[in-house]
Amino acid sequence: MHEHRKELIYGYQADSCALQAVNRLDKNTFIRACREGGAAIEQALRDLDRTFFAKLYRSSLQTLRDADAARDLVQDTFIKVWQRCVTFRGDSELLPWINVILRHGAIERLRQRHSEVPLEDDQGLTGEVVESIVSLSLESHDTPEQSAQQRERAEVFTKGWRRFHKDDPLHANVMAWIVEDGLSNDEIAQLLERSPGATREFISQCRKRARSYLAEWYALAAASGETP
Amino acid sequence: MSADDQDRWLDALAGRDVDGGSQEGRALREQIRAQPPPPLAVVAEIDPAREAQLIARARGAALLPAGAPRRLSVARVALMAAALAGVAIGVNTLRYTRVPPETFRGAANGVVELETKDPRALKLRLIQELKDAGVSATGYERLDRVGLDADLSLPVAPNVRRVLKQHQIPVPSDGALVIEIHAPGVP
Repeated sequence: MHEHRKELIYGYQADSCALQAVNRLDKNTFIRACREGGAAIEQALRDLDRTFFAKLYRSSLQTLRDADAARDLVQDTFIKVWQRCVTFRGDSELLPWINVILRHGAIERLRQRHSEVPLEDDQGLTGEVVESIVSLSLESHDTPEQSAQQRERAEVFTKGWRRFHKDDPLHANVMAWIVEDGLSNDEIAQLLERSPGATREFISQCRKRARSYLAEWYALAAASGETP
Repeated sequence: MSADDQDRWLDALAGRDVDGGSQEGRALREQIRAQPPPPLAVVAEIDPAREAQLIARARGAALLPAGAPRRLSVARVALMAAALAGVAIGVNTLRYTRVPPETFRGAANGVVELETKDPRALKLRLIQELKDAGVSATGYERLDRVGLDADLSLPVAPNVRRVLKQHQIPVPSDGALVIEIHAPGVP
């Protein structure tokens, strides 16, 4: 409720400005503004805000779950974008490049919020469940009974996933980004600014934590006999 | 949990699954993708207050020059006049020992451009500060252009980053630092 109120406050100018033209910032304009500096940066900053704020804010809100922190993160990202504009070579579009900077900032904030405590092997899981990693295709429901089981498992997953996100947003978000963007081990290492070895350990922790927070989902799947 | 097992799990989670891949990773991916998105936040595309805040932050980070002066009260003007008188004495004393402040003008093709009233003095100061940070920079002056360049070791050391940050110079990702310094009004 509180979050919703803050989001509405941020959106208060929507109607009064609806008729203003929005100058979309493309990468060529961005590179030119970076080269020219001065007043060109001020206009480009405004265009950057108009072009990308809404999308980045929603993404930040999903990651940080706090409207003020999300707004702060996006504006901080825009400042970093200009401080690092010389490093943008124009090989990709602007948004993916900005998104990486945003995620670095999000990770910094999440690390400040939560100290990373390694989990022991198999914490929260029985050996049976660990061994019973299941085939859980959402499309494979043949009978009404199987469909009901699928729905139940999906609800249990959602409950556990939300808890994972709330308690340990760093690992949960990195898992979500892996799903969203198909990140490889090297790309995750760059994102986390860690060595490949430390990144492997981090990914291992993601898996262990998922198994812990989603233990009920794993157990349901094992009980349904859908074992590989 | 073997390294191969974890690689298969990561590949499946990332959607790079192949036959014989991790069913656990695949199932997790399906469930994560099936999660309902959070309620859509209402965000104005154009928000003057938000833009003003961003511009203020950019000025605070020295990305932009300070804004236009505002209307001042008589008392504040008197106070500022007194302060300026004091500063004038100090400036007169320091004018030959301090380098004028520079402004970051931008960068293109890996060349950082700075603007200052005394480019040569700034060049010498940068070379000295980089030297103090363990970097050997080479200065040059040709065809009215004053600048310096240096090859920074990667990853760039924190003390070198500090020097660059003090002058609003972005850290080059490839370690090749090239700076050109202009006087105001000189293109």
